Amino acid sequence: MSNPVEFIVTLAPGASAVEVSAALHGHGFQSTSVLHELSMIVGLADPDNAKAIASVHGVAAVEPSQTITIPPEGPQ
Amino acid sequence: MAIMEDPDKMISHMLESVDIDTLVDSDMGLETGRRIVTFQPDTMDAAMASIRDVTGANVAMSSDFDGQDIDVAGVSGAGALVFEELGIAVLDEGVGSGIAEFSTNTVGVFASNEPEIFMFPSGVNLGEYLRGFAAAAARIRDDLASGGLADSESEDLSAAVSGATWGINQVRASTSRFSGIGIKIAILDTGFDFHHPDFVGRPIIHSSFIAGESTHDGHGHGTHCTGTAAGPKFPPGRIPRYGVAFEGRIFIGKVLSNAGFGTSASILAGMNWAIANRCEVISMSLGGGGGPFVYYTQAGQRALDASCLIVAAAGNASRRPGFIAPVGSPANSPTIMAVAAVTHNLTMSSYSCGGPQIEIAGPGSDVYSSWPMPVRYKTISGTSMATPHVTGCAALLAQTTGLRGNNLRIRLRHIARPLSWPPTDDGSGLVQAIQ
Repeated sequence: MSNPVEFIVTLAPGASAVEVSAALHGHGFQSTSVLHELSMIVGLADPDNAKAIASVHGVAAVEPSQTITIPPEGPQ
Repeated sequence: MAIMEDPDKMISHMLESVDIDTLVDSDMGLETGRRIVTFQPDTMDAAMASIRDVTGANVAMSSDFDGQDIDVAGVSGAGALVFEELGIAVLDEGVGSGIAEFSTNTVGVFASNEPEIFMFPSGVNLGEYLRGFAAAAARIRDDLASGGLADSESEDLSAAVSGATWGINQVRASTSRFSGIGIKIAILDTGFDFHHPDFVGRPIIHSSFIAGESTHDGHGHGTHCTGTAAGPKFPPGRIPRYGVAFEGRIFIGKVLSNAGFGTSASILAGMNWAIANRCEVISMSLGGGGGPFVYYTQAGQRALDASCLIVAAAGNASRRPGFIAPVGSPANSPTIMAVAAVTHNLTMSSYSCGGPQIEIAGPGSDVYSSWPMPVRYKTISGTSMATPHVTGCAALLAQTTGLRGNNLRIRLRHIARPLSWPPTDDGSGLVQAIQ
């Protein structure tokens, strides 16, 4: 996998994380963690595969992970 | 004013006649009104005679106490207290004036005559402390003028009078009967300083979602936010109260590194953990651009479905009045409660993001709270600071009403104090602690 990007895959209601994860693997998605409480799968994939990943049955959304920071301290 | 009177009463008296900003900005020390005189060597008897003869003061001697262990209450009413081992006397306000005039004309008895100064622990933001004190005193005065306080609230007067941050006073946590006991509060941030002395004995559940880093707070932000949400009711020494839900059950999720960075994945992992632990209130003083993202919106909904309420900072990208930046993510998700920031004057903080997603506001500017040792305390600003005020108030409300999730969110907005700003700035207004 060249230039893998971290994606957050949100599952559709009722979808099985195990089954979706297996299906995602077939599209080059490498799962790194499953967040059961949130019904999400985190993993790495080539950005060019994002559309294919989004079309997998049981996937509600595929979004890239973003960098989060502490909001720069406000002026006093 | 009798010698050794309660310093809080002395501060209150002083604040009636001074402008705090001028006082803080000046180079003058904060004088108590009393005088400290030092004696020339071997002049104890002459000095004592001078004090009695010139002022007629009732003099208390340190040798009057066993082992010179002075009982402060035991010397109330004395006009002067002499520390015999030091050759120094502390003189009451009126007594000191008389000695001041006398000592300039008397050679060989008094070596110096100087004002007594208020002392504060290092790390205290003096302006913050005094504003909080003045606000507390004014609130008590107003309450008494409007008909007085119920007996059950009298116990909390000591906290308000002895000092609390301006934020604690403005959200009325200082007069609330509630503590957040039994309510789980998750702080998803840079971790926590578990060695902070203000939290000794407080059980804390914690987990790190940053690879290679423990939950110890190597940044400071997480410790500060935790302090605001759940710091002690009576911090040691003269430190003002800075925490809302002082008996809340603390859950620390390290989702930001010691450098202050994380990813959506680390944040979501922390949210997942907090929801799995059924934390009634989840505080997130962090953000990024873009969104709203489906994953944050779903996470927020999952939280609500699990009777958890997520509270998040709106962001600090504005430069008011000219530029109001949109609310950042995750706060801009409709299932997450977005918090704006106000100053001690209850004006909008210049940096506070705005938009239809804003639901409520909290004290955000010049907020004093805990910080990792050895610094111990620090004053910083941001919607990050406003958020844990809301978190703590939500915990108090959850404790007393049994409300959870969206019902908790709705009630918290309902009891907020309306301010004069549009809803896109402060939502329902300034968060308030249930009384």
